[in-house]
Amino acid sequence: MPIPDQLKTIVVVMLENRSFDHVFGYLSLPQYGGRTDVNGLIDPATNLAYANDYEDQGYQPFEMPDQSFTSDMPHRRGEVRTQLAFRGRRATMSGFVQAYVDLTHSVVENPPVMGYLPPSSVFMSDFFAREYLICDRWFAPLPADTHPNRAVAFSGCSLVDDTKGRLIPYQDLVFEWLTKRDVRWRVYHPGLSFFLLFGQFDTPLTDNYRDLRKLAVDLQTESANELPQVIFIEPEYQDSPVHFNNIPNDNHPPLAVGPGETFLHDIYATLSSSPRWPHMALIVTYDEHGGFFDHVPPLPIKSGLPAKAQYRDPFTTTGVRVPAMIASPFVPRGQCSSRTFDHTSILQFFAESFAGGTNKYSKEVTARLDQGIESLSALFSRDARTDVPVAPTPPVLIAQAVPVTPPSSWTENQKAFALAGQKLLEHDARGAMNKFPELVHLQPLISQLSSPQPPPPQARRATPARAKRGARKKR
Amino acid sequence: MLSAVLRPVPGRSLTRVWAIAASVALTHCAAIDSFHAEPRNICPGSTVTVSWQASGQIELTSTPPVLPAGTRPSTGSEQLVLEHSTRFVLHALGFLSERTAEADVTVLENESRNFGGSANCEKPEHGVTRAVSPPVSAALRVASVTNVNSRPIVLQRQDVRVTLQPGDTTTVFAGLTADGLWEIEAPLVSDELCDDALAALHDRLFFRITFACVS
Repeated sequence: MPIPDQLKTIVVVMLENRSFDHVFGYLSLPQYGGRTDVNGLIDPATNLAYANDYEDQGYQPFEMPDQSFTSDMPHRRGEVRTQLAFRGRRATMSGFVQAYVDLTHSVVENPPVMGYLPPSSVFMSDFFAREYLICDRWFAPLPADTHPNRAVAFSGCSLVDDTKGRLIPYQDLVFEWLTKRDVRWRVYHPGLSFFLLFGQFDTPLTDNYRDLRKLAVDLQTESANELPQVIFIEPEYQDSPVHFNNIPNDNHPPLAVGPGETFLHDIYATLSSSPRWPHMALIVTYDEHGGFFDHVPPLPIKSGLPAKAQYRDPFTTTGVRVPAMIASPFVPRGQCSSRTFDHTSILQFFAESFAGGTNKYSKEVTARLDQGIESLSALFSRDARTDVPVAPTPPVLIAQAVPVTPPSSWTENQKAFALAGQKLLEHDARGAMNKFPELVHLQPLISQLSSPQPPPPQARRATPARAKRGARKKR
Repeated sequence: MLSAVLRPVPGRSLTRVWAIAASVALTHCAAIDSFHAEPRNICPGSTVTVSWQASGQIELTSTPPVLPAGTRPSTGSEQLVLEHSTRFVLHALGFLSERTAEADVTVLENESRNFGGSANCEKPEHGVTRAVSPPVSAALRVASVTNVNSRPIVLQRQDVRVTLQPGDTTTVFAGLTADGLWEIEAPLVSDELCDDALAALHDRLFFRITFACVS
């Protein structure tokens, strides 16, 4: 599909850990408009196609107000396998409650993994669904957790199949791909950037990485030739071990979605009020489903084992469906696309926009294209809308009203963030503190933790003292 | 770290021992290995056993409050008589770590629940089948049973066997206890492959029990 000539800037936001049905399942319900163009939830209280079971008792999806949780939800590779509950080649999507009990040891009447949110809880996502375009057939690329899915999203393949307290093995990211093609790009981050976890520390200290608070002024003051063609906007990650006066807003449980919805509100308000909006597209999606129920089985997309992969079993399906929204003057109002996408659809779109074809990104992305994953270009019209819908006012203090649960213990991803921050400080302490001031909180935390809970082996190897001792031994 | 743990605690010696024990617990990671409140579905006045195995400083609470407050040993069980639906919360606190597990016990008098799960074609001559043991108190009695599937089923409990059309409700099981083995079959139609029937049923078979309690 031809890409509109006037589309000059593509903005990508990737949030964390919610399924399509959890966020948008309500759209099909009669009490919320009963949209027939959306593959959401139909009669969720009685539809046995959605039924999960644990110890012979049935569990149905239920409406759940936004809330924080007592724990994270299961979404590691083995846990997703339990959730998908394959019967032969059919994923029955009946094991979400089982996986929840296995992880949390909680057996409750309404397991939160079966909960779906009402539109009042996702006021901004609901706004995108009403005023712009959503996709109801966008899948996380892999049935696994954060590191593998974000690796695919930002490079086309993953060398890991799990999230651990280590750096993700480095591979060329989309930034190198864009740079090689002279495409201007930038990352805006409120706190620590996820891209630090790939262990390449020079680029994040350049001017390509900017504080999110600079976005508005950049959009107002930069000329068309200065403004990036691709912008990645990161949330404040729940798994970041340190924060600098920001509250996490990436929607990762145990966090509620209120802060994330407010984050989307602020992003949209900033973009749509800028003079560049007539030439922009905002793409919002989630890295993976985070353990929440979805009724659509994943696609049989084979990933193959990349060279240097640190796992042996290649992936044979996508992950679970995730919410995806496009806001742009170049998409129609209030529509839902049922074309088949995953995160590599964004990379295909870049390839089409900047390299002349959907198959010009990488062989891994082309392999997914050949199996039915489409480029986002099909969503865009050449004719631009002239209306700019005004974002709704956030419900009264939603971010404050919904308690933010502080992390109760370090997750694997938090350990990875801490390790990346520590290595960045070793790499260039001054540059690191200038770019990521929250790192000031990191060292005391690591010291505190290192007594009873030694950091992972990589972290211990990385301490300056150990490095010095190692250097002395070598001499 | 150890000197902080063993700091003097004013007061009686027993208090000091507890303070040290709590501090020692907090130097280790919190973990919950198991947490159960059984039976999960009961009549008012049923006895419930809450049991757990965990590490760290352990607290057990409930809503509504039916338990004495305070810390608990790392492994334990308590028996309670419940009149109302109750949520038990086990909280394990360790050094910079905590874990929480929840267990609901639900009073199901005059309430309904679905029971069943993933079905199979292990006995294709019987069609799609599923054996079900509802996790309910022996005090709960069947008031009625409903076929919630999209196809006819044959339901058997002890010596009672009945065919139910989709949506049909029967009282032929009324008065029987609900715990124990139930067998569901969804017979095949002529020339139908069992796997096709299974797919049509979304790989699941359930039935709905409405409960009564004997006063």
